[in-house]
Amino acid sequence: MCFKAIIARKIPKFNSHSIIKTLLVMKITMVSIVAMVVQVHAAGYGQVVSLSQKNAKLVTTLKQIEKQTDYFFWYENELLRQSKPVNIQISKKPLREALDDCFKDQTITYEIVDHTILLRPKPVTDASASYPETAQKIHGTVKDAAGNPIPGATVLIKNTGRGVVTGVNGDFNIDASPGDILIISFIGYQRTEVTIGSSSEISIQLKTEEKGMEAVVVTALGIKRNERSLTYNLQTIGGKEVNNVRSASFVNSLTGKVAGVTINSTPGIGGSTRVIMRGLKSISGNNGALYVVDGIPLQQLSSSGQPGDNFGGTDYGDGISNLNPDDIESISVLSGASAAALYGGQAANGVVLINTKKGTEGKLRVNFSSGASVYKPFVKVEEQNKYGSTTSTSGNKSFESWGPALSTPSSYDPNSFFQTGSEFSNSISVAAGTQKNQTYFSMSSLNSKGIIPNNKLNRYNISVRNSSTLIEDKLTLDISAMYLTQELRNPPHSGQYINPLVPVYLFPRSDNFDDYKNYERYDISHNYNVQYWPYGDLSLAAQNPYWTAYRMLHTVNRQRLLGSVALKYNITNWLNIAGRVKVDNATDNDITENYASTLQLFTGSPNGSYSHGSTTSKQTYADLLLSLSKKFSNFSLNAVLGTSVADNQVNGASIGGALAESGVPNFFSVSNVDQLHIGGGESRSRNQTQAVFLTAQLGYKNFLFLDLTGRNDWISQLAYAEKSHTFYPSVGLSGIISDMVKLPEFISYAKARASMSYVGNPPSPYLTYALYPVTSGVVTPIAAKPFFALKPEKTASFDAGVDLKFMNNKLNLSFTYYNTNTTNQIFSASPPPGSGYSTYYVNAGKINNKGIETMVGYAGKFGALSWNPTLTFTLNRNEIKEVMKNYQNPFTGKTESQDSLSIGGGFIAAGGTLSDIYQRALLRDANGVIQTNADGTPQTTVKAVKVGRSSPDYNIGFNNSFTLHNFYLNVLIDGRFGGQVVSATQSLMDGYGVSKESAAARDAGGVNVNGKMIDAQKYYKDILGAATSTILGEYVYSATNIRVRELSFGYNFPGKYFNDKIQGLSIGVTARNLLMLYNKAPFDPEVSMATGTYFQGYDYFMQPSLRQLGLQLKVSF
Amino acid sequence: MNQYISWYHRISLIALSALFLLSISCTKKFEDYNRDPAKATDSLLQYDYIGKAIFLIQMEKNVFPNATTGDASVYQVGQNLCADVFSGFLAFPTPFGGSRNNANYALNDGWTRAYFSNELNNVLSGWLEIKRRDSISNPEIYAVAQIIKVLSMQRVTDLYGPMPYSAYGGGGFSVAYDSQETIYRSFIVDLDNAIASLDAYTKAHPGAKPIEKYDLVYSGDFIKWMRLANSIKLRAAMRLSYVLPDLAKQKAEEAVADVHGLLTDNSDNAQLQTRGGITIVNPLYVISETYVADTRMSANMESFLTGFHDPRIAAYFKTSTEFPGVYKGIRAGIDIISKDDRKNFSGLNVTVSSPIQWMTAAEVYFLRAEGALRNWNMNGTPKQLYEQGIQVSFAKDNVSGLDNYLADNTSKAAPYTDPVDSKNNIAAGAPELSTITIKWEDGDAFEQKLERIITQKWIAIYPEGGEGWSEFRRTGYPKVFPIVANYSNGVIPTKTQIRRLPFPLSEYNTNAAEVQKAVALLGGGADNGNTRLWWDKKPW
Repeated sequence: MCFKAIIARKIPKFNSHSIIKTLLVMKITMVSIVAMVVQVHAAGYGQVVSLSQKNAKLVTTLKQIEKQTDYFFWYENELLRQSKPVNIQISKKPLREALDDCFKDQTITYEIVDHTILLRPKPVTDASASYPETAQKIHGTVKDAAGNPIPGATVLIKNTGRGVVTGVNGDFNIDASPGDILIISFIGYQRTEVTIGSSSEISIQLKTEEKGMEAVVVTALGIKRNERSLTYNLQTIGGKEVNNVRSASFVNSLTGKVAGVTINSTPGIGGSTRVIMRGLKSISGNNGALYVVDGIPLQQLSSSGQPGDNFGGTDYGDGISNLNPDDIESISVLSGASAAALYGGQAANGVVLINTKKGTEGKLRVNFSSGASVYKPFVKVEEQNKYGSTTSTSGNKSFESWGPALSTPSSYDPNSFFQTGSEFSNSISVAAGTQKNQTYFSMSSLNSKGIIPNNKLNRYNISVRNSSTLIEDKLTLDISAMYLTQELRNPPHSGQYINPLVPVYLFPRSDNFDDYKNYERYDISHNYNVQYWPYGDLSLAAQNPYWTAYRMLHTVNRQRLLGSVALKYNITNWLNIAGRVKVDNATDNDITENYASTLQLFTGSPNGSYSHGSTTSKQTYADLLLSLSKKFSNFSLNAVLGTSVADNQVNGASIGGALAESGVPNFFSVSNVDQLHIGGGESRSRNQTQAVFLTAQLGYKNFLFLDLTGRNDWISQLAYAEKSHTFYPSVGLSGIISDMVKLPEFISYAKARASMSYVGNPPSPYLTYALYPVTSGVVTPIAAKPFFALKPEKTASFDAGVDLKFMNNKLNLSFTYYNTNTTNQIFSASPPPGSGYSTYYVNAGKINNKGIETMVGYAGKFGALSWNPTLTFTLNRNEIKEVMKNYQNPFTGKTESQDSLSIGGGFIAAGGTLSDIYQRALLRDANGVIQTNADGTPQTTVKAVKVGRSSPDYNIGFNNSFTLHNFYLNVLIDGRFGGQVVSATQSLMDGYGVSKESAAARDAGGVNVNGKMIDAQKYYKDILGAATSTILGEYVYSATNIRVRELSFGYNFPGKYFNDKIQGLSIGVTARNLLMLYNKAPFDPEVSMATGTYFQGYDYFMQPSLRQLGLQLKVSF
Repeated sequence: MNQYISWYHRISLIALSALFLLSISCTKKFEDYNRDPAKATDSLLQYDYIGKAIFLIQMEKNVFPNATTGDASVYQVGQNLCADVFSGFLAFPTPFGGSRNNANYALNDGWTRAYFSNELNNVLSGWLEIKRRDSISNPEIYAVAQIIKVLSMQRVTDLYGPMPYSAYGGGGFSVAYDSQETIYRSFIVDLDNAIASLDAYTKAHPGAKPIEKYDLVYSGDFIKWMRLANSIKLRAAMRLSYVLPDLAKQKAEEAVADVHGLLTDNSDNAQLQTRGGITIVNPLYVISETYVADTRMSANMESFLTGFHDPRIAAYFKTSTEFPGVYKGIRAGIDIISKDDRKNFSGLNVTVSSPIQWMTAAEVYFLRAEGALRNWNMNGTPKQLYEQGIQVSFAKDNVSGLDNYLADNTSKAAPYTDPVDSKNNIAAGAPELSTITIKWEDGDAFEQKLERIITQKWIAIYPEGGEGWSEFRRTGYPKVFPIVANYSNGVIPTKTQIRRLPFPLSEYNTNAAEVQKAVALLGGGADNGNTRLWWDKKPW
């Protein structure tokens, strides 16, 4: 082994004398310690050493010191080769004095970094004395594979003990003779030997080292852990990978890169993202992952207006998309409940842990990045252009296109409605600092235009983070703040209402769409412009699509300020206490202005309508952590005892309504609203969770680890319930097999792990106390029965897995199997209306999820070409074991059982899955033969039947990154296999006779049903129906799709091209959704109308997903 | 090391205590946090004793769905696109569902289920609150709730047949249905009890109006509530005339004989209107105007009102904007290509604040006229009562020409012409076209007299399509034009027309076992639009 391992139970901590630079390579986090100043430090308070040695080998002395303290040495073997025998006689001397004595006569000096003592060559003061005459001055630089300088690397001349340390720019000067061998080493890199030739200039590139290195990762609550000690699967993604191909919400960039996670997003710029880890667990609770920033859970701020039925709704985006992706240092994905167990009552759905950047000591570093992209629709609708409009006898044209064939085919392409969207992002960050104070500052802007006219998103972020040492080695303070202002104009509406796409897609083929581009006309009777749309609302609430875009204005502005303070005090070197407070304040202003002559369905007045809402969501989080880290001979113990309080408050009010008919048209002010029709709303809610938790990890010989966590939550949502607190335990075990037994040579590392846990999912507030709704001053009866017996949902989870590395760490494999059962499901059963309540909460049900998540990576090198492929595989099987089995109804005392349930617009049944799709279909017998009426027309089912499942069988992501000299290429291909989607859009397009299929059927003389041709119009309109409540079971498509999801290609210009005036410049092209390799659905199956549990895999006039092509420039100074 | 241990010990102890205190100290506030600030506690409802009667408002506002001010969507799908069309009162120019919808018997569950859940969830839930709070302590308030409940539930059971009635409000996940006979028998008992409670109260507290603030119909006038109760009892009894004729007679005579009387004057009419701070927006106004012509005069109405030269036509409808000065209706159940084809036909003469009519004195006269025709003791002859019915109806709409109208023995329903599509015409002499005249003829046969009474009642009770459709099914009158395009796949014959609405699909999902039993209670028919209700016994 080249290195003596640092048996550090914790990462060498950031302290006043060193900079920790974290490099993330694949899943492995390397920690490099960059010594800026090589000198003796004040450290090791309270550690005393007694030594009595004569002519001892230095290495023996070091072992003695390790035994008496909890410090460890790190050194290059070569360094000790020339060491002199040690004579020392000390008693209870402080560590540093003892070390000073030890190294007094040696050519070695030391530096203490946290619990590690780094040994380095002592700077030579009288160089000439011992140098051979042939020596010449050698100047060299040490860089990493990416060309970044490595300061603090040790450069030794073999067999001499002479050496130096590289400076800030990775350069060094040493006197050496040709033929001398330089040994260059640095933590985290492979030791490299270079023979001195005739040149006095030498450039050395160090390769990253994996073997034996301790990857340090950030786990729940921000606790840093040695990766080998984890008893569960944790996947890490570097900030760079996240920003490879930028997306308005960076969460989209995780797709295909982590296993065990399924990600969908709503269409359009600034939409929300749905992140489901290891399957849907909750029938009616939240199933989305918890986002945690720097250890602290973030409020979801999920969009409230999402579609839940065919009338549709608008998604305003979620809270996580507010972060500036350039501030992200790394992301850890805790897909399993055990990994997240420390978050207790909200851990069931897994955690996305985001670690943000900090300031660095030393030279000012400035990074600038700029991107420009265009958006185009990705999967487009296909229409017929052969047949024209249906015309009534009175000459009025129908909006339907079931008329005769046109003499000249229609030239109208509905996709021409879409404009080219764009996105410009600019971001600058500055990192600087001194020994005692480091600052990070960033500013970014995002200016984006959607493909639907007048859809815009503008976002501006400012972040600042300051870390400082208040009392040397004792007290550190970390302050950060983020401010965001965002303006979202006309977020796209999915569904039937306020959606320009309905008339765009159904537009009659005979007519000229261009006539309606001038969407308003001057009306002399009103003396203002009114909507031009002679078609009426088509009973679909349709309007001129451009009017919808330009005269129904909806703006959502968000201002958000997050601030946090963290204070940490080292009580002793093995015990510290840390406290953190974070406040997150987000205010949304939501303004709707509908112009006069907008459909009165939406305005209630010929004069237009106006509404103004404002909502402030405030989250306050505080915690206190007492951390202990201790080693006893072969054992190590890490423990954290903590308490936390998280408080969430929402305060909102809205007012508005129809503009008074006696008032001023198009004057958008509350003062102009019809007082009879003025409407107002208020939302106020608060919940709080208090917790006490303990996590302890016992390690044996650094190869066997036992992990225990426990957390007790007191939840305000459980007030008035029989029990208002819950305990969530977890236990895990991991062992490094490769350190315990001798394994075949090709296995370089083998770890096995298993864990079990109980975690929860918080209930909604107000379920336990019965209160009377009051609407417009009228009290109405309680619709939901109060639920005193409420218990939080509970997920029992087991997972086990292995992490393996082969062929000298070139190939790595991580495999996890999990099995979770979620019980005590809280759901609002919709009882029959005759029960006296319209909502009824129960604790019942059992949902099982089991599956595997696997990741395989390879680090290949073929000459100058390096190739790093990564394959992720995600498989989940969801099963509803019980809906309600022998459930004792706490209100009636009766034992009730139910195998199925209508919920959230969906329907679930035992034996099925939470993502089953139920729709009416054509009636088929057991052999699948369509049942027909006497006239040959197919019969339809009366009830909805199961026609598919929106969740996939499995997902595969295949990411490839290539580098050749300074060129880089990243390609991510990902596929989703299995599952179904439903297109109600297609149903309506068929019903209106505008789809390609409807023309093909007419060309073929009808639709063949059991050998008989059924007239196309009769089949599509009368039987399958043009209405939305119709036979969508015939519009089920495979959701399997494979695409080139991300591609980036570019060139890194090294700093030397610019005389090192700048450190680096990279320029590249990027693409997202570049190519659909396989897809049989009429829309992109990966976009969904909403991010909830239901209403998935359903398209009803959703905006198409986007293809993004861009240019990216990054400069660092 | 000893001094360190004790020092560490102290620090740890302090830290632990701090942790403990921080977490335990303030969970008491949880009870405040977990009470929805937007909702009222039960103790707040004690103030002014509002909890005793406030739920009447919710009940009254939902007999005809009007829960959210200005939102007519439930009314539209539940009534306007169902009974208002099937009764022949109104029709629509809109090609809803690509012109495949209730009107041409492609029944839309989203529409047909609306009343089922609205009346149970919104009317009966209020009734349950009042029952819990008042049935012992304030039977007079409970009595009013009972009357509203019967009024509402009769409208619902006459759509579907069997309904959850006696088992309503039991909680749990399944609710048993009652047969329609059981429900009708309960109606009469409930009404009798209500009248008895109100009678006792008004005797003890003459003139007292404890529910005045919460009553949008009669402003707390219990005498009028008793008149309404008797009138509803008469209406319910009449519905039984073909299935239990003896009971029908007995209960009808009881209602007429009751000391508190029936609705006799237009000032007795039960109608919901804006009162105090509660605004009632007429849903028909919203559907006709705000939803821009989603409902229009029907061809039937045009045929009768123009044929009879009925002066009420101007009170009911506006002339067509497409054919100035002309009243033009739309035939229901046709193929519609474009809304533009007929959206400018006759609109409704209704304003945003027109009261929502529950039951009128005119209807009661016609009920009595029919009873008298059946030789029941109705305190008058058929002729007297028939003419009084027309007179009260004219008075309600403040129209003149009564004498000429009553004397008109020639005018008949006019043929109908659809200017857009002649397929929808009703030619002169067509069997679908009514031949009944207005003037009472004592010498006419029973069926002719009955048709005359029901036809005039049908005109007088407009726009209450629920009652119009029920009486059409019971008696076969007036002659409602059959539909033109039938998309029921042969389930509902065009000739006999739709007889009921199917149970909501949601019942099959949430209350499967009980709804299956309810289908058995239909008396052999399937759960579809062709099965006749229990009282629907007259063969035609």
